[in-house]
Amino acid sequence: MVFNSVAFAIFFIVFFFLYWFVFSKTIKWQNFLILAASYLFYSFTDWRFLAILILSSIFNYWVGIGIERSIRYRKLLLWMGMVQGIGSLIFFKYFNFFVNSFNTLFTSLNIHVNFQVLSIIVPVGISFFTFRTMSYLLDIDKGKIKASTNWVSFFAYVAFFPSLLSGPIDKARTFMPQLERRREFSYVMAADGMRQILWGLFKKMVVADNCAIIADGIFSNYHDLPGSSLLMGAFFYTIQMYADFSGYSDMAIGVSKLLGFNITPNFNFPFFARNIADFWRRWHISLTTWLTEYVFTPLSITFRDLGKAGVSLAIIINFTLVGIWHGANWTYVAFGFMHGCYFIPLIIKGTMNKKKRVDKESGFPALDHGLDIFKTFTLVMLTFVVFRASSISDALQYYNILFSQSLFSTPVFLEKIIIVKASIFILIMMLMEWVQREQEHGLVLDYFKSPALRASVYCVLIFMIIWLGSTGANQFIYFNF
Amino acid sequence: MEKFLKKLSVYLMFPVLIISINYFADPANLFHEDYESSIAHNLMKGYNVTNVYNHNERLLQKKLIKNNPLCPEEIALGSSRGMLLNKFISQSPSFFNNSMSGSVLEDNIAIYELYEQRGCPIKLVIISLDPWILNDNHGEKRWKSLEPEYNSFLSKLYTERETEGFMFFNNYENYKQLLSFSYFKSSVRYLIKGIGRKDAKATRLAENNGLTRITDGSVTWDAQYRDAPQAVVDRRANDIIAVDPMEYLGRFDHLSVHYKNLLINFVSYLQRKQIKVEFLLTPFHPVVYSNFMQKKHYRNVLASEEFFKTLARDKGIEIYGSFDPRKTDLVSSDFYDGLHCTADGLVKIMNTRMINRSKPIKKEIL
Repeated sequence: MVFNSVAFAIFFIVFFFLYWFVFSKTIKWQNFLILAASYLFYSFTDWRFLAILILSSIFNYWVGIGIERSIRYRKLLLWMGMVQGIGSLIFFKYFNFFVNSFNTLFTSLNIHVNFQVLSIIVPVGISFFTFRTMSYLLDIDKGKIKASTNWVSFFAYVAFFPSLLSGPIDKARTFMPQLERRREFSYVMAADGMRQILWGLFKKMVVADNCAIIADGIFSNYHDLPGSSLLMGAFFYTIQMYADFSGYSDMAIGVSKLLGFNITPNFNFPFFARNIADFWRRWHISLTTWLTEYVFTPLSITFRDLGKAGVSLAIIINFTLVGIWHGANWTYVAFGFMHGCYFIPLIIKGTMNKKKRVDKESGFPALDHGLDIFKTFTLVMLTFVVFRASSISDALQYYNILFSQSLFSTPVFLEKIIIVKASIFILIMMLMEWVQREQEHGLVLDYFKSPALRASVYCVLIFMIIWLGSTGANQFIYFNF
Repeated sequence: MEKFLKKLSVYLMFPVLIISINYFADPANLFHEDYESSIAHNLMKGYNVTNVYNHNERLLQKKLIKNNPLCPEEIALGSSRGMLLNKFISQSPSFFNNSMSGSVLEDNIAIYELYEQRGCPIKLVIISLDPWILNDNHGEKRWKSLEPEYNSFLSKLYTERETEGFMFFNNYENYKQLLSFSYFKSSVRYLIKGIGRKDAKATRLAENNGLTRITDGSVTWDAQYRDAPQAVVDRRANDIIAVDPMEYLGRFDHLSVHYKNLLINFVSYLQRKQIKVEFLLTPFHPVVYSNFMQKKHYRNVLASEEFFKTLARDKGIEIYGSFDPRKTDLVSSDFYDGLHCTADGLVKIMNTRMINRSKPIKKEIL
């Protein structure tokens, strides 16, 4: 069930009224409703894996209590939790990848082995709910939180439906306290949630789905197109990725606000970043902060004696993991590795942690700021070619044509009208986000004092979603991860 | 909360407007049955019906099968790719083509079930097979409006299966269109164009300006589609492959075990009832087929043909055609677009059958 579907609209309207009018008497009942609704929501998407979600919750609930109460078996239990989390990710997402890679490796060494692949279907959202349970156990071990003894709250945290399928990945220490305190309906919060949902819908249905038509057409016919068209393909795919994923995150956060929850923001206008470090502070924030806390920081401590080389190594490992987190394909490994390598100049210059922000007040970015933004965007765009390609050899062929002389030829367009339409939508999105860049999302509109003016903007956006949005409830890209 | 709901209610005008326009304009006649009734009525009276657009094909088939006083002996099942198969090509006076756009295996089974419920003594079933009927992820849901019939047939195959469903859920796909943005766009365009719903009209002619449904259930495409220059046809084929994955062929990573078994069981059932079964594989435009050959994620299109051929061999079923146009000597000019071959193209495929049955057919009778 996707957010931009009729099924979800019906589901959520019913849920909203039950949540605020029928089950609002006690937190226990409200949380129980969240849990039941989350399982129903997950079942609509793929009921076959509901058992995995429930078993994972049961296991981690008891392991969490065990870690807190046991001194002797604390580390053993933590390891068991990690093995369960990483093990299920490896089994469901990466098993066939490793088997195929080993087969290829041995074949290239003239050693004939044939490890069998399995017919495995990846449970939807496994990367997201597994990272939640892992952070929960790690935080208990470090004493940052107490193990929950309220199974309904814990299960609701793992399966919270707005962020179950594609994040954001909330940490238990920020989310569970919200589950355990009484939630009052707040008009300001709910209204902002509605605005954020509207903005997310606009980004997904108007921008991303129209960009997808162009990007899909170019990527599937790239052999026959000149480099200039491939450059357009990379550009539209990069925008599609952002609009699709940040659109989903906006909707997830908006839906959560309607229920009285503040969940972790996932994007902070990443295309206005002035270098790659800044980009990753703004892109898929919940994943990068997770990995920074549980992977990069421990690694950089381990490698601290190596100086800048150690930091570079930790960054490259960290970002390679970011890449492989997306799925079992060498293209994702390459994507992460490239981003890791982009950090090296910043580490050498010692500017990795220096925040380079664009002026808050200025209407337009200063020339040097604009150039930084352009350079960062271009670097990121080039990595999305390998992210989108079905194999490394496909990506190399794409780069080969992209950087050939045909880059300077007139682009061949499959659908000129859609390109014009999509470009206008992108411009609207970017302008809105530029103006709102210090806000939480692109539709805060605080500076419009007139309610009628604000309502007009909402109506225009709704009209655009209805009339100019691509048709059909297209799935979100990050459902695959 | 009160303030929030009050403000929100202002924006309710959008869904209310969408639902109202979708319901009253109803360009695909999902909520009004009179359009299909009038088409069925005219066809049963022996008239062809032209200007037939956007109707609920499943509903039309239901009305035709349930109300037609005559039962055909030979029927054709399948998607729009088999819709041109007519009584001249099949060389049977008692033939009816029940093909429907976007038809999948569930549709074919449900249509056959309608005949069985009616008590029609069917002697031959020609099943036009498409590769996507073996794709678990084909995403086609229009068959849901025939779900009771499909379930009823399944209960004969698998006794444990529930045979009754709630009508609301059977019609859910239709009701969902009330809030569909794409349906809303079609509704508004439909209203702006001012095309009356009753525009379909009875005629004695088989070829008209508009799409025509013939008395034997087959169709002739509208003039603009039929008579398009070759460059336009080739562009249509290229448009089809520009969407990747193609419609119905997304995530076609294996041949569905469920659908393979369903097809095997359906065919076995028909054979047990002494009903002859024939398979028809309608070719794809050379550009589209070559796209299937080149791209790894379409490998199961080719695998599906192998499966259909193996099944035909195992069950002693005659099979005509191939998805590969070269195997049936079809060239670009034998197509209307990337998916649909012309009547001449179909004749090339069915000619051997015609030779076996009587004599090769003449082009002019089409």
